[in-house]
Amino acid sequence: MMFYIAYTGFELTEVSGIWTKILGQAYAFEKKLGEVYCTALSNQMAYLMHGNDVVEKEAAVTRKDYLTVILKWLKKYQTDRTYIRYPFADKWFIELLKYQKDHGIRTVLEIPTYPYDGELAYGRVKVEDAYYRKMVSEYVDFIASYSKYDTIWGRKCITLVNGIDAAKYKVKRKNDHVNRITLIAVSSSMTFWNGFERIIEGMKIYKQSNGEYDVFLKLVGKGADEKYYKKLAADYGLENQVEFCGFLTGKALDDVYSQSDVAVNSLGSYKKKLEVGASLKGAEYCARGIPIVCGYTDIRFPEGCPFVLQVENNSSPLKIGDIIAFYEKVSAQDGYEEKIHDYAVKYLNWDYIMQRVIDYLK
Amino acid sequence: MDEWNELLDAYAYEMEIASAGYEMMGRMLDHRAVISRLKENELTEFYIYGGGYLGIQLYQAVYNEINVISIVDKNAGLVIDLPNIPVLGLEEFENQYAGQHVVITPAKFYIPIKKYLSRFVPEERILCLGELIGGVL
Repeated sequence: MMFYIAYTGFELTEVSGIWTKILGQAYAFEKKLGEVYCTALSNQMAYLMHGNDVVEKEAAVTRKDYLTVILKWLKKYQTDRTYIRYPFADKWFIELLKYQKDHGIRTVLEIPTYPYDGELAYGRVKVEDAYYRKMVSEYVDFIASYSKYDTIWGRKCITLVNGIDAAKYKVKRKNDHVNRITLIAVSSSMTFWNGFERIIEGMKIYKQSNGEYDVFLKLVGKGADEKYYKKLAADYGLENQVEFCGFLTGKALDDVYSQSDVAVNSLGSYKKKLEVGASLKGAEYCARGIPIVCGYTDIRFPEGCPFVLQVENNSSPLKIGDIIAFYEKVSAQDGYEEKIHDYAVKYLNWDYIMQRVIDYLK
Repeated sequence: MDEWNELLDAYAYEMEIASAGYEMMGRMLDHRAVISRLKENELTEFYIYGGGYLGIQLYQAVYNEINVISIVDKNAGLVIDLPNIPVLGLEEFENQYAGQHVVITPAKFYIPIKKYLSRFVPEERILCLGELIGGVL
């Protein structure tokens, strides 16, 4: 039996997509390695899940409680392999790793963001992590991360990229409007590192320059910076061009995509001091067959990839004229939507992405 | 050194318990969200276990919408004197219990309280507060 140990809650599915990602990875494991159960911590309860079905649940208010429950389940289900989504290091996490090593459980540790110091606010978690992270490598042989590092903490590191089940996404079709472009930016958290203010500022400059195109923006999601974006849109007189769609799923989300021409990925990575990445959102954009603007180097796409426009990773306003030119060039090719989607099917599916981890855990 | 580690562990544990309680107190201020959870899960009546702040807060959040049969507390009282809220002691509760849901509110004692209640309350009828507010029922 294999466990996927996560410290996040599945109630985040619609909000962040993290659980969707965990399920995608677990399903890829299951195809090659047999049954995989996932553990999740949600609202003071520990859950053992198989897909979206709850196998068991127990109260777990503290990290120590969660460790106790996980160890109980590891024993009960005679687990011999685990894949752990790293939650930051603390005493209880180190105890889990130690238990696994002592009991011959093979493990791969996924570090979702590395380096992650920029994500940790000063406080208890930062102090605990600084102390305990030095011990992680003692108990882990293999690390997987979304970075370009060959080793992390002295251990061999497999580079992962965020994947998807590409077949699940509806491919959007080209809009036939003239001199009009609609950008879409989707974020689960609408937080500072999205950097979407750069789009709104770019739209203001383009409008002031009497640009030929009518430019629209659809912001999908909710979060702390939404108010800031609304204020910017109002201050710049762009209320009729910037639409705040809120959280959308299913057909409502498909509809908003179908009205859009270009999708914008994170433009604020510089705020987290990150240069490279591979966000889930970028993979979803690709699966939907929509050209992508990105503010960091997305390692899933080769340099010069025709349907990805990489813009500067700084606070400068987006150059809307460049985006229009990019879109016109991409959309001039017949069937460009299918070509973009096919790339996702070939290279961004979890089966392909997790293969090296699977090889190690076999 | 061991003693020091034990103290640190106890400190961290208490801090996390307090933090969990604080989070639940905050989440129950959003009455609409709590009520919406109850409706989603078709909960129309339950007992609340625990006469502390969390138990009272939960009562205040839901009593207009569903039938809170009573708060159950081992001391048969509330941490604040609120005469309008019905309270039962354990024995009385055990005698009158007839298959309803029971929501445990003291985060620190979820496990021992659940164990105690399991003697006469079916396990699927016992809910922890966090589970009620946001988990899978």
